[in-house]
Amino acid sequence: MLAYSTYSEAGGVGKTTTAANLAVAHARAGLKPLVVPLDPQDGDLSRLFGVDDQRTESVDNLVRHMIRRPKGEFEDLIRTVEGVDIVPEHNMLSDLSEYLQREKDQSEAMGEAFGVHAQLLRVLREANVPDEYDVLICDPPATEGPHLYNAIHATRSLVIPVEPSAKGRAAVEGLEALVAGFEEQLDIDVGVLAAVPVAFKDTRDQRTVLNEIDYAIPEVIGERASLMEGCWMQQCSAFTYVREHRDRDREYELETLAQFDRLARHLEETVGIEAPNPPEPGDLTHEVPLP
Amino acid sequence: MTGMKEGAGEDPFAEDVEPETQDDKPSGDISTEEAQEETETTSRNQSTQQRTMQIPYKFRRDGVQDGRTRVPLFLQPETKNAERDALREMEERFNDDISLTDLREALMRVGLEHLDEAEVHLEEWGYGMTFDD
Repeated sequence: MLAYSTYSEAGGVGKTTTAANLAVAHARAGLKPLVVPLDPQDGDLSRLFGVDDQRTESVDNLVRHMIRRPKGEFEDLIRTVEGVDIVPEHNMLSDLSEYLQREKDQSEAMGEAFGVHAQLLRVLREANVPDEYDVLICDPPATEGPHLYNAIHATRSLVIPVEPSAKGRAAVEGLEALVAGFEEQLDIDVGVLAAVPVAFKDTRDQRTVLNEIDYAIPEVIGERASLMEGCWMQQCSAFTYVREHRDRDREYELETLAQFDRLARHLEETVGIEAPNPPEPGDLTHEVPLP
Repeated sequence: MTGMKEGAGEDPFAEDVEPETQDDKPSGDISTEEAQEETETTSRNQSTQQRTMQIPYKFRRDGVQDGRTRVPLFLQPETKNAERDALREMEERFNDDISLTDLREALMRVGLEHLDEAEVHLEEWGYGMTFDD
């Protein structure tokens, strides 16, 4: 299984849209992706796909499973949109840290171990996710904390959308330090599958920053504010947005879609997965094969 | 940039044991645990050697923790630094990423073959000192 977390320094840079569009790109090629977004804020991946309608209700949700208080089966949490299975975010994520700590304290009082950073991995394992899915994508918030740690622990590989600016460079370096400490504490190896420069305007400064990134940069995605905004407005992926909500094709937008397709193929290749039905990159008429 | 290697991390779903943070576990007697593990893996490997034939461990496993038992490892800062230097050195020699876990076990194997030199370090740390007159 291909498993990765998208990480970037801040919301709005393209982390969530990158996760969402890659998930759809994997699904378009006939693979089965599961997306686990973990953002405690509104305006998250669940919102993008329009599956955030129950985030304030007292329904069963991922946090309950992570603290071993599920109200139902893991499968029942899942919503499917555009061929992508999603575990919707819930407001209980805002207090994840406290919930985990309380559970840890209780476990320890009973003489059990409870790793606060290993709970997402446990939930996914117990739900047989590696057998059921080809791709696992976690979309944690940028801030350091149990959301990010659980995501990194459960995926061990990262895709880093990065704004090619001094700020973006600082963010990558900050992440290095964060992950190095985490690797040491938990004794896991974390790898970077790709850095994905987004909102690239091809200035000299930006090219300089790009040259300093040590990781594979399979694609550089241009400034697509209007496309990404459209996705949020219509609550869909860029593929669906261009196909259904644009009255004419814009060449540069089709190229961006092709980039998501190629990026998905690149990520699949790194772990030796071959998609059964890959589209011509950017081909909007490609049918998502039904499972 | 240090810390993260390019490419995929290990497979989080490869191991059977549930990973836990090690901080709160007792350190135990590391050398004994390790020595026992060593003998266990050696005998295990011997029985599977025929089937796995020539495929090296690195390519045979699904993840870096495959076939390994977790043991806590606490290092003094200078050891940690030396380990980091050794990792860089080895990565240069192989022109490839080296897993820290692999390096650590390799160093451990070498150490196990050099108990006399290990004895010197233990003496430096105070083993063998007696306070009788």
